[in-house]
Amino acid sequence: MRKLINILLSGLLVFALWACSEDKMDEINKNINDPTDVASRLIITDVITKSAFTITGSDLAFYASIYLEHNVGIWGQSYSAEIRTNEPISSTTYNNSWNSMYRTLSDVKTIIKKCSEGGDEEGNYHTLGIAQTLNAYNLAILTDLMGDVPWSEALQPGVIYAPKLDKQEDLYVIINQLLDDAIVNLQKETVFPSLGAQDFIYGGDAAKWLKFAYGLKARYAMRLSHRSPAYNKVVEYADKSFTSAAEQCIFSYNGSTTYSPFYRFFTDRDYFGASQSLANKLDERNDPRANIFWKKHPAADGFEFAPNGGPVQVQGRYGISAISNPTAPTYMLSYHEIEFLKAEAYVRQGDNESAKGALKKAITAAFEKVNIGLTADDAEAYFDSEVLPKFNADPLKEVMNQKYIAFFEEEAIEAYNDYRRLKAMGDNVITLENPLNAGNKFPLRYTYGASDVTTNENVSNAYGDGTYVYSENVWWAGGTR
Amino acid sequence: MLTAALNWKINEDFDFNLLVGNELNDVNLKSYTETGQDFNFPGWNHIGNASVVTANESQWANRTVGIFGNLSLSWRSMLYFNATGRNDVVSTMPRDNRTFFYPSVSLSFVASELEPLKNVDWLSFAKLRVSYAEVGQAGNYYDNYFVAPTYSGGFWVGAPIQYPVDGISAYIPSYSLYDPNLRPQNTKSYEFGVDLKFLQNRLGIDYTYSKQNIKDQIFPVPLAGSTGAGQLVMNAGGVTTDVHEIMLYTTPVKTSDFQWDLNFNYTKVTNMVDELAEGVESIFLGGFVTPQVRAGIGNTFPVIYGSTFVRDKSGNIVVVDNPGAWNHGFPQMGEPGVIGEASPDFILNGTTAFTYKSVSLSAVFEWKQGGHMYSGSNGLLDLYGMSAVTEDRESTFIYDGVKPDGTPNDIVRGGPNDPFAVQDLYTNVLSDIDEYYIHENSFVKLREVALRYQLPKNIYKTANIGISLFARNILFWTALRNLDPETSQGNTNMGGSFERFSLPQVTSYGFSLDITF
Repeated sequence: MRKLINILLSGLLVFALWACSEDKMDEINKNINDPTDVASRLIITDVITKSAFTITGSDLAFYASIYLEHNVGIWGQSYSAEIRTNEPISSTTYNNSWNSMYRTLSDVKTIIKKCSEGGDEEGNYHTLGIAQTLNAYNLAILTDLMGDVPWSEALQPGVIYAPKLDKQEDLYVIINQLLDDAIVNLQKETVFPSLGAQDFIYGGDAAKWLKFAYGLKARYAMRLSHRSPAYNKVVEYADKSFTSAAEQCIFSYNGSTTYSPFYRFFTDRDYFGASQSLANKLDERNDPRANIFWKKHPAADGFEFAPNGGPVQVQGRYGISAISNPTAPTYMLSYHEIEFLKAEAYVRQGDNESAKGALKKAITAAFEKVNIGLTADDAEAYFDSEVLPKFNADPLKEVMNQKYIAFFEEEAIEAYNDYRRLKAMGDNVITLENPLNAGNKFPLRYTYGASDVTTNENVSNAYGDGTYVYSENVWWAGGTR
Repeated sequence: MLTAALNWKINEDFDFNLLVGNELNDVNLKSYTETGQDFNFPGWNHIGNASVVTANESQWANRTVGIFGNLSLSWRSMLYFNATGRNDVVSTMPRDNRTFFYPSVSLSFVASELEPLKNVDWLSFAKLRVSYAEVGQAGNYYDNYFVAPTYSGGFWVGAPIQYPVDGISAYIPSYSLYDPNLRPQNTKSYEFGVDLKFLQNRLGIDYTYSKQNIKDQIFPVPLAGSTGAGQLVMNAGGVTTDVHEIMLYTTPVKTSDFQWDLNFNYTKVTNMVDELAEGVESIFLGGFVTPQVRAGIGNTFPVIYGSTFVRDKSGNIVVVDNPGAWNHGFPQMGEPGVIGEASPDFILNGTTAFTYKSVSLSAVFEWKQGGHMYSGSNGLLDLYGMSAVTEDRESTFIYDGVKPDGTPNDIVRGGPNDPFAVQDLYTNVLSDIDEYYIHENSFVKLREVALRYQLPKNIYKTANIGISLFARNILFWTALRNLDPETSQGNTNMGGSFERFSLPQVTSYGFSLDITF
């Protein structure tokens, strides 16, 4: 009997020890609902989607659209941004975008690590090159809008809680290096299969990503013109980029599982009215797009433009964009932008004949945008009768105003960048009409995100009370940070 | 669970009890969902009728293995000693941090049993208690994982992007990460108490002081966006809670037919954050992007954190002095900071009852003194011009504050030539300043009045019936305008300090019947 009890007791002891051994416990706590690792091709798909939809297409563009007077904020946060009350200085305004940009950059970092030396997809050069290109692209949007931002200490959760800020000047060195690396990698031979349908933009075509990378080199070379002009480089890079709209870097929406952000901003929020100042620029040029850009609000009796800086806060009265539609693409880098970059570079080099050629191509491409629907003939007629006389009078002004108009409304962030750069260079060629701008209420930059302002001392010190957005330019626009 | 118990009556006076045991708790959950869309024809509600079928499965498992012991020793009815110990091994923590032990000891001494005190008339009962306990608690740890991206929130109603997109899926690292060095958290509590009863139990005082130290508290810590992640489940810091509690029982009148009881309960709770893990500035407990409810070092918690008014050094609100501007003479939004403390100074509860023969009338009241809350509803009433303070839109007004040069504000706004001033003030200025939404929420409430009648005789053997009429939540006074401060949301974490679009509390009247056997 005693023996039996002993056996039973030792059996229980063995069972108890086995039941809580570390290996057994690891097995029990294994999360079988979610993968702990996935291939880079499955991660890069959403990097592309977030870069296009969230970062290029949504909040950051909506606010740029207001500051740049592509649209007028007539309700809620947009109205607040229009009348320059809370939104431009609050750290909550761009917080979602701030977090999205860093999360996207973090995903990019994961891909780059996988595809680099020592990673489990070493030799996947094309995915690596695409990731480096998108790294440069998103980091540039981040610093263009916010100035000095965390980078060298960023993206180490649980290791560095409060990353320090990096200077914008240094970030531009990194951006250009990333693009140079991408250009090398995209031209390498690889045994890894193409991204194919996982790549929503180019279907895995490395040659097109290469053109995109060169196009970004051109864009960023122009960006630094106030600091270190290199117009021959702009032309050189632009020549290696897109040669037609078929190659441009756009993200398309299917209108069922994916929707164009400006369209959804109208259906979900209805915060925008048609901009009086943009209409004035079209009127000055008898621009045929004046009949295409806008329509009356479905709830309004007639059509009315919203005055910049002082609309009545009311929905269903002012006209709205007619080019926001469910499938309107997001432009990460358009073919017309490449031609506009060339046109500006030629003008600045004094080569007005080449500039005219590039400008005409740019306007034609802008007329032929899928949601504009004008033809090359329309563009030619307009160019000859309206653009040329103005170009001859002031080439830079006409090039930049045409670019500004062509960027309505998906390319608002780039329009905002151009405006700030031109101001820094002393070229006051684009006229904004919000009367509050005269009282130093033009936001020269975007605030940092609240998630850092509330937890990262380095960022909260730089943020202060947020009013620096009205007084301090970013580095490439002549500021210090 | 297996336990073994030993009872040993050592002698007349000593009693010894020992219990040891172990426990194995194993949970396995599996859930399946099956969703069908786009039925081919109506009337047949079955998955076979759907054109699009999506199925999902999730599984979860957890095991805890515990060994415990309990030892108690008593001497006469005077001295009681108790000690416990427990060791747990849990599956939900990272490897090598799964085992933790926690003991407790307590001692109580009934002084009124001492010979010299036993026959003291005015002292009916006296007890001293002291105890120390630790409690270990595991978190929920996972290896970091990937999820399908989602696109809702922010400006969007619903999700503008939904994977799979044209048959293509994607995965990204989860927004929430887990610290691989996660340790079990430990709570140490000390308690000291005295229970005294006098004059044949007509007067009683209980006093308890307790202190709780939570070390290595496990929190999902919100990370700076620039770290590339959203939050990290980690041992985030230590907090201390000090509690003083006094109970007073009195029976001022007692005759054979009539009795009046009056009891009070006073509590004062102080929560302090002692330390936070390196890199953690504060702990998010709830709220919006702004304002938030947080626990931060050096503060009591919870505190409300959000945008402030621009103020001068002496705390006056500084208004804009910019003649002609739409916000001339109005306050401005300043830096984010602590805008309110949720913890009250004290809470006093009282009950009183008058009993005459079989009828009793009783009342319950509560007084909460101090503490702040965020009242979103009051802010929105002002924003939309629906509150009493926004009623007068025609008179001129001067916003209370100082001008940037420090002199009292004398900028007159409103009146017939400035018709939008009131609207601009409430809709475009104050609505953006979280501090404006902060209100003190002290209150005094009559929670319940009840009248009860107990049948004087049993209706059947030991069965008896009581009938009561009651009214609840009938009278209150509060420092918060328009609303009852107790109608707040998310009370568990946020200490009742957040309210937006909340429904009013109901006043209820009722009738109840109770039967006892």
